[in-house]
Amino acid sequence: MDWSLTPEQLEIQRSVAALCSDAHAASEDEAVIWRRFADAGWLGMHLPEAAGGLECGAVEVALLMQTLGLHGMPLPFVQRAIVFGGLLAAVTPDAQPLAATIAGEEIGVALIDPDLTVGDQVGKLSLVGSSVPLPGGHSAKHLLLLDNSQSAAWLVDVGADDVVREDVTLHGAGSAALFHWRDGGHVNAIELPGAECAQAWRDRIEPLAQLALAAFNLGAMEAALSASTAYSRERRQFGQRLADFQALQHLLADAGVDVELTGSLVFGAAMALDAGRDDARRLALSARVYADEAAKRVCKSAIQLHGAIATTDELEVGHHLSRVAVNANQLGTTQQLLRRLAVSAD
Amino acid sequence: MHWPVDSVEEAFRDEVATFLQGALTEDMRRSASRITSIFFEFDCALAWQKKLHAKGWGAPAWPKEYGGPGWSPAQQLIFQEECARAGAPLPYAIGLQMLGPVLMEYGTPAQKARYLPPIINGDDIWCQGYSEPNAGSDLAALATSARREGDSYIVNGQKIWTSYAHRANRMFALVRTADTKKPQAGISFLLIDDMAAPGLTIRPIKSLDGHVEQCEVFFDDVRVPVENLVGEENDGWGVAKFLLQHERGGYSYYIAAQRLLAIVDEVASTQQANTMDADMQVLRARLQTKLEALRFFEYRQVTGDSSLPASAASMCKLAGTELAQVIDELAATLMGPWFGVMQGDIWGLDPADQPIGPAAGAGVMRHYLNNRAATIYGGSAQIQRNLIARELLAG
Repeated sequence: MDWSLTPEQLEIQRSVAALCSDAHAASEDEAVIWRRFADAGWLGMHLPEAAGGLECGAVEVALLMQTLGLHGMPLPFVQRAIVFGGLLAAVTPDAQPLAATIAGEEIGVALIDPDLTVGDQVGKLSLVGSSVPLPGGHSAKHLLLLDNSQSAAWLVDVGADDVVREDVTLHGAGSAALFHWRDGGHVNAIELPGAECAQAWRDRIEPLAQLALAAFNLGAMEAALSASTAYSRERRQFGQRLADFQALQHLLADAGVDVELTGSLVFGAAMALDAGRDDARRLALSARVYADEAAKRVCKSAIQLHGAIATTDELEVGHHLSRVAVNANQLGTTQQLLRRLAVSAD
Repeated sequence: MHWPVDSVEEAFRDEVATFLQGALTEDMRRSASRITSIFFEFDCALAWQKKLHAKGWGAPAWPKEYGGPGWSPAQQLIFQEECARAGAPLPYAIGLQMLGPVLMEYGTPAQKARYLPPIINGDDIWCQGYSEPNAGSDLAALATSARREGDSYIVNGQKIWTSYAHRANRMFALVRTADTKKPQAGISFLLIDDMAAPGLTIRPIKSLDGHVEQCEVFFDDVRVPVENLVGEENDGWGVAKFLLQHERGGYSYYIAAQRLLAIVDEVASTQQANTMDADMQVLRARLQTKLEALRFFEYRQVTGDSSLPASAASMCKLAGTELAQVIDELAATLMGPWFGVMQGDIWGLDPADQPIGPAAGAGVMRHYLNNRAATIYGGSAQIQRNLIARELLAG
């Protein structure tokens, strides 16, 4: 087991960090940053070469996500690249939407386990109501629906008038969209090989996606902790540094343990996925759950330690909590994932 | 960063598993399954030590030149993992994990030759004379004195919380050899190699769980040969700190937690105990995720990850002991009204009595009480937090 980063892995960390810093400095909007990620090849980093990807492993994906979390950059990499791109690559590697997704030219997003009602006519999809908010769904042209229980999958063209997209913003500066279906009517959609989609989701895509969310939260908690230790050395009350109060030292020590344990599990699970170990999928889910809870603890402690200033929009440290709390409800809530871990060895 | 499946390691794992299957007796398994402490039942642990010694595996972490098998850190961990899986006891660790490394680092050739082999074969049982009534977490305040007189030190004073002093034949101790302004500077590391020496009195202390694990040890002009000094006189604090690293790091907290969770699962599956409801299942799953995090944190330590913080051993101890205490709580809940029933003599290789209530949970109450000490000994949880924070806030 080798925990050191290869030159290539260090380079990913370095370039993502540089891109984030530049983007913050120039106040670039998300569309511009997304294009830069595409130009660097990262939108297909996890995909096989045959599908136009770079064949990077879970460790590389985790490093990218950790760096995004560290820099407070809630890009919808998981939703667009890993889930949507991954599902398309699994079933239709030659399709044009995949190439456009990797190139950052078209936006697609996936809705996992919606309550799909397949219509009374064979091959027709009927939907009722609206989707939940999907991070990364803003400006989406494609929506992939995957119903695992029925092993059914559809690719919906969002431009058609039977699906209306409503873009929304998320706390922590991410964006999302809701999709409204024309009530009771059929939705024009291409049916995808559902069994293959469901299999790919279960075996590869979900573990990588959950791990990636965990890695983002790891980066966010590292940022929150380092802001807190820096502030503790600088801020004075009652004539001494915050760093000299034992109550705060112990808050920070607990946060330090949370960060180290989370980092160990995230990268341990990443290495297990890359090595194809038997317990890799379970470890990826465990990493997600542990990171959700640990990141919330650390980000809340960071706010507590900073005091009132951290409850404002002006200080970055409070926004880390928004981001990790948003992530903790994506692709299943922490509690739902814990239930899954509890009832199944899978 | 990668973790290839290593066929040599897997073959080693099979070899260990095969040995364990043959070597463990039913009596040992039964005794080892009733976990009440970080120490396994003494006679069971000793019998197991002798079996391991006969196989040449008596000191898994020691290099070959001192009688160890020369295993890599990865092999040592595999050995521990397989021992837990097979339900083997852990050998008594004070000599193996604490004094052994100290003698290898600081001991004279004569000390190594005399004291290391009987640790492996189980003939010598060492205890650790560190804490005193007025020197607990603040260890450097210790007052037990060793006054030089010819070729001897004359030791006077009192130690407390000395685990298994009543079963040990030797003790290593920290003693004060000089009154210095900085208390750490006047401490020496001494081998008190005869627990039956004139002037040495042992008083066992009955713990909350009704059993004796700790003792008080009194010294009244106890004579110790000067050649039993380890390291330089007045330089014992450095030796002690070296040893503390082994006390904190030489133990796998995640494996210990795994053993406890196995008990939880077994208790939950028995008729007499409470079944796990949905809330308890979620708690069980949550504890498992922390266990996995701890596992990889320990892997980082074993494989020498250079990005580890200096306080990693403190972090591990803090997280590991607190995890074990939460598992105790879950086990207690599962036991329902059976929790708290005092058991008879069911702990050893040859039990006189049958357990009362769910057999799998017979040790749960004792462990619950005994394990309160885990966040106190070896630097309390609060001391560990101080150390971790000191590193985080440095610079």
